[in-house]
Amino acid sequence: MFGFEITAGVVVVLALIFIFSGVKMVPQGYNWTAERFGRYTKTLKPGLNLIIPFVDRIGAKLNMMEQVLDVPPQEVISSDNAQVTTDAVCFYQVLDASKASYEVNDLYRAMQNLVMTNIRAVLGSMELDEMLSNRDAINSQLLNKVDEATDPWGVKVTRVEIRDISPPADLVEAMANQMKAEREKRAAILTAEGEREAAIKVAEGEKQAAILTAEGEKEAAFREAEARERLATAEARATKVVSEAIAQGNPQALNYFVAQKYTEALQNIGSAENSKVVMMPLEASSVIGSVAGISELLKQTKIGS
Amino acid sequence: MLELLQSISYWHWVILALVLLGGEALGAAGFLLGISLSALLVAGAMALGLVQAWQFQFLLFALLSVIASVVVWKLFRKQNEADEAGAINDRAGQLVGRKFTLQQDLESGEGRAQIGDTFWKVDTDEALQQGCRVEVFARDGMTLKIRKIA
Repeated sequence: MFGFEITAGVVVVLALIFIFSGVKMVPQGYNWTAERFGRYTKTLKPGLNLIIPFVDRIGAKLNMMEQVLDVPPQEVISSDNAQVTTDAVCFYQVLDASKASYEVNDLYRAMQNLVMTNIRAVLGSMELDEMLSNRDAINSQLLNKVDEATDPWGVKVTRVEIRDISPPADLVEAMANQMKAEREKRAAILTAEGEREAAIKVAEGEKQAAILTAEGEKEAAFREAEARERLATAEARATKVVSEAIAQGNPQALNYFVAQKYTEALQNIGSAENSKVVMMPLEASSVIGSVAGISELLKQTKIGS
Repeated sequence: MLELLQSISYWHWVILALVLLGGEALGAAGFLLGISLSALLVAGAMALGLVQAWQFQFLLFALLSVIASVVVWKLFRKQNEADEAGAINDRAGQLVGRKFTLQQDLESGEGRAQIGDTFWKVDTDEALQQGCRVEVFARDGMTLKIRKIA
């Protein structure tokens, strides 16, 4: 009966070992691989799992969440022989636990080296300026290459980002100088252009003013000539009317008008305020003459009547 | 020692069950649950007078532990399949049912297509042109099966 008692105790211990090695709880976000006599058989998903004790064993415990891979800084020589230091981050996720644990040894290191060599390949084929301005293109090119290369490992690379591209200090200084010079050139050109434009504007203004003045003078001369013409016409017509009137009437009437104007003029001179002394070639006798003319006029009218 | 074993009453099994349950609550990764259940069942069997000798209690406990563990696992597996955790960490599975516009021409067979801002391996029966609306209708591991939609 003593043997039976020991057996009972051993059976209990065995049962506990059995359960301990058979019941597996996989936490969320992980997948465990199960191996039967060292050979992969299945993948345990998150939750409570049961494997056959002694026969099945847990192989690898894989993190199925998206993970960050830091790519350490490295020196890259661009196609125009500039040496730059660059580093990157890579986001990846294991999608197939069996491939990730059995198709590749040390997944993390493999991916790190893959990304590093691809960065060298992509950046090495570019010139420095291109490198600095085409981050997006570099990232997508890297992503494509790395993603394709990691496909057999059951890994999906969701993102590769170049974090920093830093050329040596003296090169950065030269680039700054170049930029500054370019700005200064632009400023100088703009100033010169402004001055040129201003000069043109001034000259154009002067030209316009001269044209306008000349036009004004031309117009004035035209008008003046016209006025003189009109005046002449008017005088001619007046003379014509007068001569016609004379021709029809007595020519002696003319003498009357002349005399009247003459005396009127004398009166004006006499009454002028500025000076009573008038030096003018005045033939007083001719006025008398005209008076004599008037008397003759009277005589004739007497004879006529 | 033997006297101590012979003096085991069903209360001891109940205590053992509770202690094991407590251990499980503290984080024993699931394997104490079945053992605790079997200790409780042994206690019940003793209370009903089904087993007396401690040797048989032990044997019954060992047997029930294994059976209870399997039963607990079956119970939770069914629940596991019903909840929403299945879609987490399964990028390819999440894309099934997704409709998108092709960014590039595809020949029939395997190719690569852009969905969102990542590229996926896709499988199609017919050649598809760029700008064509397609739907992911199934997946095979990391490969998405796509077809044209009207």
